[in-house]
Amino acid sequence: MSEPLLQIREAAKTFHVGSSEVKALKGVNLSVGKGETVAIVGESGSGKTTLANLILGIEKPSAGEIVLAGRPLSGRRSKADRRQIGLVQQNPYSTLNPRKSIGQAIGLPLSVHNVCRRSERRRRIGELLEKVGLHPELQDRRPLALSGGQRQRVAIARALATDPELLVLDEPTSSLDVSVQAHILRLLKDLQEELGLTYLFITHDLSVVRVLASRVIVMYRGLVVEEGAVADVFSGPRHRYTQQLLASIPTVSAEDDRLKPDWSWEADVDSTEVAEEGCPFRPRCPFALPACAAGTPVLAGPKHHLHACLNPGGAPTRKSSLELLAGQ
Amino acid sequence: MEDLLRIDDLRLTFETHDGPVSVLRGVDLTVGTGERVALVGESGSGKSVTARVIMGLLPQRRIRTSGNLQLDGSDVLKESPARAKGRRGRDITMIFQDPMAALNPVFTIRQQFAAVLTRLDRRLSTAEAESCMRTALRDVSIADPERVLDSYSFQLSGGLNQRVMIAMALASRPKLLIADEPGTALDVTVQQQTLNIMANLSQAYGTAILFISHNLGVVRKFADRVCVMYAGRIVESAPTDALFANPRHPYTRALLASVPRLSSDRLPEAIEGSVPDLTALTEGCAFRPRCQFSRPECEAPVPMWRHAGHGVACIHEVNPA
Repeated sequence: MSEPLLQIREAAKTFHVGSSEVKALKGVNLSVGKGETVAIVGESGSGKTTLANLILGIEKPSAGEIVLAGRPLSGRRSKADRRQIGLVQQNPYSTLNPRKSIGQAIGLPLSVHNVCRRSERRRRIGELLEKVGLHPELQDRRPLALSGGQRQRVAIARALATDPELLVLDEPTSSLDVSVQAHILRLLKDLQEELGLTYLFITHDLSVVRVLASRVIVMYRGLVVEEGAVADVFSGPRHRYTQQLLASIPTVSAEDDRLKPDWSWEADVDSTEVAEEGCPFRPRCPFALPACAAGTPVLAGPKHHLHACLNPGGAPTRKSSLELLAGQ
Repeated sequence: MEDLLRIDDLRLTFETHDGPVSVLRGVDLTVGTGERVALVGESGSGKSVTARVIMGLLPQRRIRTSGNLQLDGSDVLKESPARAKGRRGRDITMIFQDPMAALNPVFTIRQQFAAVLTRLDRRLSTAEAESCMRTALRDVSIADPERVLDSYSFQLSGGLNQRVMIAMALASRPKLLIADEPGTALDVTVQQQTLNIMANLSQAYGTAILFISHNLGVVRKFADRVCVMYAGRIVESAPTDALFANPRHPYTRALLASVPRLSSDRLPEAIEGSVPDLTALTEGCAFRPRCQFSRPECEAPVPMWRHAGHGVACIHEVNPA
């Protein structure tokens, strides 16, 4: 892997709600190489959004550290730090102020960070719009005049305004129609090639992970439960939660069905039971062993594919998984 | 199978400040008794409007309709608002996309569920209502109905709220349940469980479901038959297996090609162009400007070509090039 741009070491976050504590993140390690796309997947409550907030500096970690390009980031970010990380959020209908023009939306980061002279701002906004495949003249329009896909392009242009190295993409296509989603995915891929961007891609949609990311990190209840190259994790998921997640993907062809792991267990996925000790997935897991309750399983396995499961699903030989994917 | 719902050439126009907008432009759709039919399409295709016409939820003064809409033998478009109201919540019920938004946060689930039941039968005693609610919640795999009934919607997970909605919607044993993007706001594992519960109950109660979705994968798992909508018209309709194995309309094919695949890390193919402006549509095929197979003949009105339960509204089916 290339030199890491972002490193997260033992990041933890505990929220205090009244007299009780919510452990949203329980010690997460993560390293994202320059130019890489790492996907973080997990359901609501897995801690993926909290992790993004820590990276962006919206929340301060309770423990652990976040290192960007070799420099530890403090809880209070300097302007220079903030310039390095851009954010694209899920819903382009709520992230753009309807009363501000597109030009004003993209111009704000330009003026806050003094990216260019005021006289050059209009030209620079036009360039950014062109970069995301929109007409430069669109900057005089309001968001209302734009479709969902166009708005998401504006949000991407705004995230790129400060020339960041890292883009945090928080469900960037989830609220878009599938035909529009395909356009945005292509744009993200092209921009990455053109600008050498690094993406941290947060999603619950695993089929998008397959096409956009090179490495995937599966989170459950504040812990990383599986981590590896996308091809490896998708063709041979080890952790039982990853298996259930992959088996639940709604697919559109018989070819895709064959790649899904078998999962016929009726588990109560709404179980609110929280396992204080041991594997967090244990209350829902049909494979739980007595040992699973003892201590939290740690990530183990070959470096390209780690999992934290004491009773994992079958490991495919690396050859067979590559054949499977090459055959398609 | 007997037709529970039968829609012929349904047209609907909204009167707006900028003039009339034709939202539905000749919809033909049937749902058999106990059948699960999916209506798929992108935003603006008219699928949610179709659902709302059937429910009678659109403001009568702002719309113009023509065509035929028969539900269980009665003509929905011509009947009085009072009759429509009597039917809603009894013969037809609806589940909306976001269960958190559909449930009222200041009443407990028990209060809301009881209100649904007393609307169905005013003479229902409290004890009867209680037992009815408990059975209904158990039917949607809620293991401890008491706790759920005592809760407010914000105390429950999205999946539990959705199941409460399903229990309420099926309490009257409706003939038709309209589900508008159910589970879109939920996690995939929860979504799958919710759909399984809904499918099982539809079979057990003989309730037909009109399932509105933009997610082709979800539709494939759930529906008996799929209707693909584009710009206010159904462009293809077929049994689910046939549609996914052999999609015929160029739009259906393009839509399927834009779905990311598990079996490939190639980028999905986007559909060029954008959804047409509904104020400026002519009679021909609405997909024509974006279609790679379009020919001059596509400007003429396109009939629905039908063969063995597979209907396609494309000129190429009638006279292949």
